[in-house]
Amino acid sequence: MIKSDLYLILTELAFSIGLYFLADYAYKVKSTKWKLLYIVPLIVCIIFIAFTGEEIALLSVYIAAIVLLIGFSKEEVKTRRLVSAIAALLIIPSILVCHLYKGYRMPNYLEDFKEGFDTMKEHYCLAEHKGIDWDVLYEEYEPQFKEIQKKHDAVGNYILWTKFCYNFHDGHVAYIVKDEAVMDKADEIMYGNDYGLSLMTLSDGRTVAVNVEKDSDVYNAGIRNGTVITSWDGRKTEELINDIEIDFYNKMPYNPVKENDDFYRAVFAAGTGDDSVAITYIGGDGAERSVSAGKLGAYAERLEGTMGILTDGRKADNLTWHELSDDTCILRLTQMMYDTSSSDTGNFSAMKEEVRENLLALKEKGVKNIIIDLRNNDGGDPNFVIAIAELLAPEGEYEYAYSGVWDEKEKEFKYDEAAGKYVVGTGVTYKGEGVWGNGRIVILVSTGTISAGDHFAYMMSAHDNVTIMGFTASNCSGQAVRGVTFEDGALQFSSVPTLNADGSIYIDADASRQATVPLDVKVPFDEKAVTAMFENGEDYLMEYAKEYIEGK
Amino acid sequence: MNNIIKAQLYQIRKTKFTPLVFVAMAVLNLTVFFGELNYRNYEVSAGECFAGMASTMLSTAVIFAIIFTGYVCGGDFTDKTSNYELMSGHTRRQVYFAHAVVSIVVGTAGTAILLILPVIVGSAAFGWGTEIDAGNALLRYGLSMLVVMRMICEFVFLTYVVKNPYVTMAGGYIIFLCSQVLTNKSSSVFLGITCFNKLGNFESWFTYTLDNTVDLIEVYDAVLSAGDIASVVVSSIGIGGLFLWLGYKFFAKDDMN
Repeated sequence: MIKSDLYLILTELAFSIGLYFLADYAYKVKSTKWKLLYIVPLIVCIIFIAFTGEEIALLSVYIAAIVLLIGFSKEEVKTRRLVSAIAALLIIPSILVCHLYKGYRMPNYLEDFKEGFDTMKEHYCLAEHKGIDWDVLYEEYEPQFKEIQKKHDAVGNYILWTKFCYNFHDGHVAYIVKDEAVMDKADEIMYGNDYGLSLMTLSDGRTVAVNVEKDSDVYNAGIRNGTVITSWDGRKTEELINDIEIDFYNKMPYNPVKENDDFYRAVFAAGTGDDSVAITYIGGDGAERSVSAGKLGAYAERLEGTMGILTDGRKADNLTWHELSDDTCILRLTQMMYDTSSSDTGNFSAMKEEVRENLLALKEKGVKNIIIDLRNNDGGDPNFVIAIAELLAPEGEYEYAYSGVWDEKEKEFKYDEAAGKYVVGTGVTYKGEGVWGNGRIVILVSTGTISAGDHFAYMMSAHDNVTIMGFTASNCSGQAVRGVTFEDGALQFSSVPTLNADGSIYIDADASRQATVPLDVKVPFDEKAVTAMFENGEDYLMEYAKEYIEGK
Repeated sequence: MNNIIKAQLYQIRKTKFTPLVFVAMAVLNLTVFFGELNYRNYEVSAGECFAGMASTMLSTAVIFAIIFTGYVCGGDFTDKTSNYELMSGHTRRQVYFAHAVVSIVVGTAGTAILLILPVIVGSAAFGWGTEIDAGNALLRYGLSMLVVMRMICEFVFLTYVVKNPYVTMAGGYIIFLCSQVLTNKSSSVFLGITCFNKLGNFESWFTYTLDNTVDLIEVYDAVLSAGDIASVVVSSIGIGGLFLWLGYKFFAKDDMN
């Protein structure tokens, strides 16, 4: 029970009791001013409501305040004492009601869902592109949110929203919950139990242990990073991994590309099981062995750690340069943002000049290659993208993307129903300055490379001296977003169409869930990668890129 | 009762107080509106400006209602006219409701004109525009007048409790400001619909395009749900009626000395 509600109850109770005893005195004094005291409880109620909002569990308190108004018009002592007593009787149980009522001070999850759904239905700009059937979605989720509302289940609400969002296969669709405790609880429920290891599928199809916890049951049984796991909880690992639901991400954006989903599927499977899980694996001698691994706790933390190793880029600040060798330098781009001034104005000329000076200095030093670390770049301003691309692209004018056309009357972007495409508006181009000349560039991406990060990878992939590299393609979500805010969370979704010249959607993967941003070099996830990343703590992709670009 | 109403209307016509206050508020509201038009230094329509300024203009216009109510209901207490009205054969009910009716009708009409005047002038000068649907804006405008009526009922009550027009004018405005500040910060659904917040503040969101030559586009959602409309009507009539009744009950047995 929140303090302000308790204060309201106590204040109203004090008034009821006070007015009971003052009734006789007020009658004797015969002053009309005494009447005003019977309005005060209602005014107090309104002030409390203004600060904290209404609460159905306090209904009897609100009624009591109205009942006391009778004392304003009826001056008889008996009547005034009666209304004071009734008011007190109405107020006292409200303390109990507040404690027992499950919905006390809880948001209306069903109404939030309906509001979010309706807004999204009206303004989600990729519905046709991704083949969204709104009626089917509503029929599936409305009854579930109704159940959540009945139970006033905050964690359930969050889980259900994230499952709902998964249906769009769009990295820009997400439900963000305000209360971190709710998120943590949901993680525990959804990701399952930790048995001391994660799983990953190698490029050759085998499933191996990764991120193995030292001194755990599995470690003591001889399972190490890279040990092949053949069955889990009595099921073949391939079967388990295929069946696992991965519709609940909060550590990274959703994957529009199915192949990216599949790459990480095994990581999520490793939370499956009860208090202990039977794991069959190939021992060091090549023989199949089994171990019963006990639960260590919730899997969420290990899962987050594993995903971090797999997707995170170099741990460095945005727009920083790092020397990798005499020939190769790293440019780390964590996001497409510079400072608040440039974000407000869209003018990134200061940043551009800074990068230009750095590039020229590197050239002067004889650096031949740049690895742009774009892993988990969470996007930002398209003008930032243009500024960097202009410096790195060979001389010439290139097409970036096209805007939609805003229909002032209909309050939406114009859509050509017959053609099934948005009407194309202004085109944006960028002028390559060739500052880096023909020097080679490798761009490292991960599935967390999204939005303006996707834009940059896509734009640069058009140039011959650029290679896009990663275990997976970038996220492939390129539209701009808007949000709907609720009491305990917010829903965001793609709402501003960014287009190709023919009106087709720029970058975003369609219903077929194929990657749209090219991946020139798909780095095999093999035993070597596992050992380097999980055993030696190396940045395997970076090393791979260095060897590639230096032609070793 | 009719005679008291006629006397009040005669007083309004023949003294300079009400027209002066009205003109001053009209100038203030026009300044607020055109100041906003000037502030938004890009091409702007009256509709867009109305959406942005409706709440502020309502707040300014309501000052007229507060001053007028204090003047009509409280003025007669300053020179014992109320006592003479009662001694001349009118019942307390007639005296009370005659003043209340004049306050509500003229106060609401004056506020309505003060609010619509800048919008008409602005529309004539710049056009209404396409940002806000005129029908929805008109509906909000009409519903706002119900809220104004409810507020005047509260000021009538206040005036009959304090029996001093100047206390009503000052106290009423302070109460109004406090309630505005409170409801602006409040998550209360009830206060949202009973005050101007829901009606005067148009929900909006921003969108944009890749075209740097085009500013952010503010998209207004002017549509009110049937539930909101019903809530405003019921709460305005209900709360207004309650305060009118409370005021009468107080005055009915109040000591006039």
